[in-house]
Amino acid sequence: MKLKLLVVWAIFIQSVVVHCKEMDAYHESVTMDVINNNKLYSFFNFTTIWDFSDKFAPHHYNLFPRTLGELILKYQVAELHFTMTQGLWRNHQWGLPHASAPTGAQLWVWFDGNTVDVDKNWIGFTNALSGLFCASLNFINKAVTVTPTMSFFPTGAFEGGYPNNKFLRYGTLSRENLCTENLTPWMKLLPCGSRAGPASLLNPSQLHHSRFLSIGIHFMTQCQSPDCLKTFVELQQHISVVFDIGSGTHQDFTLRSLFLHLIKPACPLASTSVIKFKVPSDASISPPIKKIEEFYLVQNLFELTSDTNYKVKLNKQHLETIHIPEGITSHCFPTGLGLEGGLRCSLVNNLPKNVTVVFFQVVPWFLYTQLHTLKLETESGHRIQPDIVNFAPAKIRESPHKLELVFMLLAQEVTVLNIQFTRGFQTWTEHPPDANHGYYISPACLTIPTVELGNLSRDHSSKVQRIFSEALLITIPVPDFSMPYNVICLVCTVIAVAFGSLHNLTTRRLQKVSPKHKSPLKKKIDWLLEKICKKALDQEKNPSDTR
Amino acid sequence: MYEICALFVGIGLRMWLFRMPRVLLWISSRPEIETPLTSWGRLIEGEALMRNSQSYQNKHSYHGSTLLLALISYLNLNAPSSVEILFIASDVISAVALYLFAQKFLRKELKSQKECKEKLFKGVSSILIKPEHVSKVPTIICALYMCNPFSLATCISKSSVTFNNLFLALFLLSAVQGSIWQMAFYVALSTYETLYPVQLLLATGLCAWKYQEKPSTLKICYLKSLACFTFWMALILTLSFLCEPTTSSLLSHYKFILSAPDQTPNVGVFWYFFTEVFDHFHTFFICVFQINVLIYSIPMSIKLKSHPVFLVFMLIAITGIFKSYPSVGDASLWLCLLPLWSHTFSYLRYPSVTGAMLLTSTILCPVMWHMWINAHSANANFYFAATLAYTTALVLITTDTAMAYLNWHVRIREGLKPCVAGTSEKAVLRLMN
Repeated sequence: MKLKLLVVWAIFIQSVVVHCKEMDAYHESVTMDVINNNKLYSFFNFTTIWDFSDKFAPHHYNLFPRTLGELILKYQVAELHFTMTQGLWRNHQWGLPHASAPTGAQLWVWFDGNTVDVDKNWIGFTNALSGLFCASLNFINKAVTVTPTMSFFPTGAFEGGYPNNKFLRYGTLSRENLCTENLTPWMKLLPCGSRAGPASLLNPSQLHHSRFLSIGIHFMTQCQSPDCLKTFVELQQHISVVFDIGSGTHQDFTLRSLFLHLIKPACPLASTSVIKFKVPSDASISPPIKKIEEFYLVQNLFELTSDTNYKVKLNKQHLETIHIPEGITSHCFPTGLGLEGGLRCSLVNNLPKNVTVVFFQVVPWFLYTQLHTLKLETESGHRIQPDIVNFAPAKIRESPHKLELVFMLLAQEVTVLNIQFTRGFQTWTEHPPDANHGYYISPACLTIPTVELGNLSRDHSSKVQRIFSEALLITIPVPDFSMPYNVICLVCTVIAVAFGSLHNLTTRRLQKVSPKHKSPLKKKIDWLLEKICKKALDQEKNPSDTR
Repeated sequence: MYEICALFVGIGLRMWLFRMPRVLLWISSRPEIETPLTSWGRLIEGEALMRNSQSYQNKHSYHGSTLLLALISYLNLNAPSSVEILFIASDVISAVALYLFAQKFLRKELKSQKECKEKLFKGVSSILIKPEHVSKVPTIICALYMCNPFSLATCISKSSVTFNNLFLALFLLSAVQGSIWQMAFYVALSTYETLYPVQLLLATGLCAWKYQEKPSTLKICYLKSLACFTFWMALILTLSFLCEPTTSSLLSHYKFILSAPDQTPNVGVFWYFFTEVFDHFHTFFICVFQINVLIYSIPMSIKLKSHPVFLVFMLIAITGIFKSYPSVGDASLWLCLLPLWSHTFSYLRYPSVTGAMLLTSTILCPVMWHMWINAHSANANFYFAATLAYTTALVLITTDTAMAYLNWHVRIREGLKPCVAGTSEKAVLRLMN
């Protein structure tokens, strides 16, 4: 009996020890930035940190969502970055975001260093993720996937030293719309859901009344110490929303007016839970927030006793807008007429120094991009020689065109990048249901080291900032979708004309025949016709005989 | 003398058109002239890709042959202006080769006609080959090749069809001389560029058997031509391998020709068919269409055993019409050779219909293209109809020429107005079993 009790106690201690070894913590925050007195940028950040001294292989899930964890384990994912965005982030008006994302869906994944078949895992993972988030990520197939070499290095620790790019896969779907259906499963991954803390502000239908909405999931392994002997995993869930807070007379806003919800007290499972405000110095917040931290008014949500509606009163006389110092902006647009087309990107560098950037662009395989037409020059006509040009042409129906350049943006200059393509043709089954809508060229990505941008970046934790340009809509000539049978018949007729004539010429000989000569078949037909006519005539003459 | 004039006029036209950038721009956008397999733009892109990346794996935009890319990139690097001279020279050599070939061929035909005078029916002298033919027809052929709009456009667009035509013209010249080594060399070169001329091997043996100085059996001629072809092909492939030590680009070149994955419109039958065919029939029809190009060689070789030059003409014509990425340049070669059979023209059944059809469809193609792509007032069916009419016109010209040729051969033995055997009743010539 005593032995049994000892065994049970030992097992209990062991499980507690195991549980204690893997300690997870959940931090939530929402940052409200008033931009230019007419926009509110809300950034929700939900981070789950799980301390694993060894590889990520959990026995029990606590705060970390199990659905995502099982997928990560099954497909040997080392790092995951998934965003879905509606709208375009305007760098020149709103500054740099906390987390940048291109329009549509973007997914890039670093797989484990000991993955055997990366492509198989990628297809499986995209399909599983599309089921998890109710998004059609299953359209990310090999015709859309690329392996960037310089733009998307791992943000966390990566096993095996210098990352080999063959474990990276990147895919974008610019056509993908962000719906309330995508938000619901996303919110289910949070420990408290939308019942407490900043997540209580998230009202899916109200969020879509914004200028810009982006949801993101980022999973990575971070080192605890510089030697990286111990690591922990981090799951970050972001939502970025930009609301119009009106112009003219009504420039006060409340949380209820924008989100239709009040902010509830903190989630009990959280370690930290804050709401931060960055408002002009002459604005007022009620209920008042006393704590100030690095230009932000910080309110600990644990101190809230009930649902609170924060009201921000902005000074109407504050005519002069807060000047957002312009850093680097990019603007892309399509060019060309008829079958000839082109891509033109205008990159503005407002900083006082030269900046070396990495430019990354993916073009679908049916827009045949021509490397020899690549031109990089400033607006004044000065030709720029890129340091590295990495261009992978498309394999028809197997991979898209990938262009990666490293070059220097000159200070206070506009650099123009120009590349031409020829519109190609697809088979009728490859066109999507609305073929005349057009096809999207995914946004170009400009990767800039954070050190160059200094105070301009809102996100100081990552080493690089990414600036995405617009997604471009290109129409390609469509075939007639109602014609498959007709086309097959017509073409086969032409071939049959040739085949028949040549078959006759080669298998028969020219012989002299009398003009009255009839072929045996014609003789038989004539005999039959004669017989039928004779019978009909007999019936007419003697109708009684036929009865 | 006239042929030298024609050559100079042709050279002058080409040099003048090369100096007009708007014409060059317009022609480079014409799908009837440029195909993804042969276009100059793709060649330049292949060169840029080769210079940019250190590996040979990255040339997926360029679907042509390695040796051509190596030659043009070498010229572009060292002497950029010599590229135009290369294309003009290629056209000039083709024209001269066709002139010499026509002269030799007609002389030999006239000679064999004189030798077989007893076998011919009396009174057919009006339709026989005359000595004026030997002097006029080669000049006409040379002038036609240098000045016809199809070959002009092909040369100006700097498409690789120019080189293909050069190899075929030199093949014709060596065929009528009966030299197996040369014939096999030119067949190997054309096969390396575009796979289809391999069927000319059947004609090589027959030409050698007929036109060789040393008479030998047909079997030996075939074996010799096969052996020579294998040798030359191995040499060319080795050279290609030395230029680029991977087999992937060679295989991708032939894979592109055979599987025709690019559905860019051209004057052929492949593009719209494979745009619209049901997915589960795709592979089946690819096989059928490719077999269709090659299958006519065997029965035609049996039927035209004693007329090997006409066999070559028919094979070039059929390949030019039904290959996977044809262009008007492919048609220009054999259309220029039609005057060789001018003595049979009185037996063409519908020359005006087919001629008018060809002219109309050629003019309609750019119009329909503009309406579809630029003006958006028409759809793909308009352009498809124009190219289908063009293909049908070429098919009808080919079959009509063949019929007239066979008709002529019967008439010279049976008389201009043959009678039914045994009676004086006028007979009709019909294809019978």
